[in-house]
Amino acid sequence: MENTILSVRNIVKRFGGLIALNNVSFDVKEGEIVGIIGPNGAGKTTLFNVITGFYKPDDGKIVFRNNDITGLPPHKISHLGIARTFQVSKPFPSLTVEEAIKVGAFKSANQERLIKGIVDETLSLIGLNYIRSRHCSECNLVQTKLIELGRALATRPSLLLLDEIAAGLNPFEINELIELLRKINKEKQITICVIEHVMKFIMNVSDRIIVLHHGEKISEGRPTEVSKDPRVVQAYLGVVR
Amino acid sequence: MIELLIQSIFNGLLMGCVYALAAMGLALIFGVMNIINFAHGEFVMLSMYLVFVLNAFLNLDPALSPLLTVPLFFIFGIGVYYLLINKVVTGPPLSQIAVTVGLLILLRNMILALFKAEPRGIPYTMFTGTLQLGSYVITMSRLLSAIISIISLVILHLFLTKTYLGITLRAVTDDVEAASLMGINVRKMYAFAFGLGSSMIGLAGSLIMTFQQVNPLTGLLYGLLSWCIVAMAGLGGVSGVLFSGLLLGISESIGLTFWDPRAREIIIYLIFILILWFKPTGLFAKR
Amino acid sequence: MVSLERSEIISMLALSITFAAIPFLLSFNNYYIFIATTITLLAVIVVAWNLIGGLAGQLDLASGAYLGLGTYVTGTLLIRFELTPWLGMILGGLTASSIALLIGYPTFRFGIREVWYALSSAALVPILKTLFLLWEDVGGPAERYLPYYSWSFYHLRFSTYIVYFYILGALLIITVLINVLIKKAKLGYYLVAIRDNEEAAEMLGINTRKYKLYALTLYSFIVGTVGGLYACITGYIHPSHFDFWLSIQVAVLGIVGGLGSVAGPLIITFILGGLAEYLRTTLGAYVEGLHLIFYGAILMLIILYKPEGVSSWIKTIFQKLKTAIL
Repeated sequence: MENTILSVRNIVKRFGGLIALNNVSFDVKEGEIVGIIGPNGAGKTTLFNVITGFYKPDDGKIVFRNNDITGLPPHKISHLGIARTFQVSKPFPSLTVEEAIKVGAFKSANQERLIKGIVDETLSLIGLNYIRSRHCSECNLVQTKLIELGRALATRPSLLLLDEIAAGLNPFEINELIELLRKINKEKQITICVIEHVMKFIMNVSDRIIVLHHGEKISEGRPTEVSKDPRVVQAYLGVVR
Repeated sequence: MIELLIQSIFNGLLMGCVYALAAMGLALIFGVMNIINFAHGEFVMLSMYLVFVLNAFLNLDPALSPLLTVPLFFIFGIGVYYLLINKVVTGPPLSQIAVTVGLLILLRNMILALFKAEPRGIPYTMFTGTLQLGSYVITMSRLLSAIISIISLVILHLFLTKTYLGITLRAVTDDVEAASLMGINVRKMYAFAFGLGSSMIGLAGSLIMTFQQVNPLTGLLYGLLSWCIVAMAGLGGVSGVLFSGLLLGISESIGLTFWDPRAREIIIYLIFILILWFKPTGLFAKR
Repeated sequence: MVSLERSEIISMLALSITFAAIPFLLSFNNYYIFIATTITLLAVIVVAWNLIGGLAGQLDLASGAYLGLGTYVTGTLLIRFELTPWLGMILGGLTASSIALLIGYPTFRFGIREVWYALSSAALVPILKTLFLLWEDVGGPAERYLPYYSWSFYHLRFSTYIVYFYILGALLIITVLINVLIKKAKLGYYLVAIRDNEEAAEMLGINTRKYKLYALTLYSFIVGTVGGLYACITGYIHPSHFDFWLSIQVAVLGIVGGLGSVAGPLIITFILGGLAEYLRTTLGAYVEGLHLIFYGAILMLIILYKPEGVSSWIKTIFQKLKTAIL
């Protein structure tokens, strides 16, 4: 339980003249739920993109379960056990809900029977069994987010990265989501890393929080510690006019 | 042998400038605006036929035709944008490709129906004569076209970097969301860019007609050339396009001189394949 | 591993029987059978195209190139080495796939925009045409005739089109079957996922380049094989067999019929294919390329106003038929 599952070391990422990530380092321990917060433009999604292989970092190293995954393509990283959802949803409009989840399940099993099992199990877990045959193009925001989560879960990851999954949800939905994530974390033993803006959500669900600002890590610790950290307060207040 | 090489490099450099101008229209539309216009080559060809028609009916010298082709193509570009592109600009790339493929078919066959298959050229232009530099010969029309092309590219570069409108245009490409938040009418900018790119095509067509003929297959040639240059130039801006144009012009010229003058398209395509294989950095989606 | 539903088996049988019956319905008129053969040939290519265009979502415009390559490989091997076209067709297919890989491998890399494959494939047809025109040894501007036989299975030459029709019909059924099976299997799901959202697909462990290449290889192989047959049907090989307009026609039929569907493009091919043939032979004489202007206009209209194509209409018709019959 105390093993480090993900180790991010000295990551630097530039876009033209801009530095998006400046020497970011942190660890994620197996079984944790780690929250990543920071004002807009802090580099949070960029960080996810670097970890999952969508961007190559200009410097630094990422190690996942003793594998150096720096610069690997996303599909290889997925096979090693990392799954993610996206800030802007990326649905499969041509497929039905269960077909979309099946796409994820193909990675985890070869036989039709097993695949069906994974699909059924995932649908129950995320609570979308009642619309399993509906086309993804006809699903609302909450359902779309759950489908994206389900898809990722069907790949049986060890580490799940969630990018602003709570955005646009009402308080009731957020509570349900918190319950779901805790369940996934405990029962499926999946380590979770969440980027969020919705404070109530992230403070409640995270074991530990990392704060990014202008591409740098400015704070790290338990939610209560971080929320009192003057640098964090300054970063958020500095942005709000 | 060396003389032949140098002569062909000269020619290639001159042609390269004009190629760069023709490709700049595409670079602006695709490289800058991310809009795919499969019919780009046909636009160049259309411009060339327009010059031919202006000459046939109004006796207009192709060297003077830019006065008409540039504004006409600006309007044409805006028209095409609002009629066809605006609807698919936010959709999947396949739609943009498909709709402009349809445009390609339409243009090419309309031209075939109107002008038939034989090449059309303009016999006389004020850009006549040749220049003798030692044992090397330079045709005035090619030289003047190259010079005008470079001047136009410089003007465009200044426009994009120094004027408010130009900077706004680039802002829209870099971050559409931020641009619209800042109150910029993104659609109008797209239309303007399309018009601007098209007017450069209009100019290129006029210049090319001072030293070449046009036939219904010319569209393919200039399409291939332009896409090749855009592939090479990547996000290099005006200087990238000019440099790639020159490189391509020289390679094509050497290939034509030393291999087979009829193999023009094949040479360009081979260069294109090589770029795809070995230097695809210009081909990636913007991050 | 993947199985067919009863309704699918019935549809395929119905299709096969219809095909077997067509020559009888046309009272063995050689000209009509020739038209039916040409349209069926087009249909095979369109259904194969669905693999790369419909399922994988890549706008491929190289079918004319793959067909042409098939004709040249098969024809040349027959003329020079008397190699039976049955083998020649396979080799033609392999050649087409190799060239397809040449342009597909670099352009299908994750992150590279779709337009680059579309462009390379579009340019392939006229390039190969020029190449074979200039390559005097194998090609050249004159037609090269295949050895004449009035009946020979070995040389695949017959004095009537019926045999070709049946061979193509069989190829069509096989290609339809391949499509149906793939759609239900992992490959099908993966391709649709790639088409719908490539980035999401990558993150689900899908090597997008690999799967796109599978679709491409299969499709180009089929078209190359058909090319070999085409050489035997026409009786000669010539650079004009590299037909850019075929590529366009195939893509338009695939898009109008509905990307990803088999029934849509198939039905559209038989309707529009017949219509275009009619236009070409009657009005084409007055205005060259009119049938193509027609295609260009249809393509633009469909993309702008009904981008999913007519497959949804066809689906509703089938549903109504099903409820009516059952």
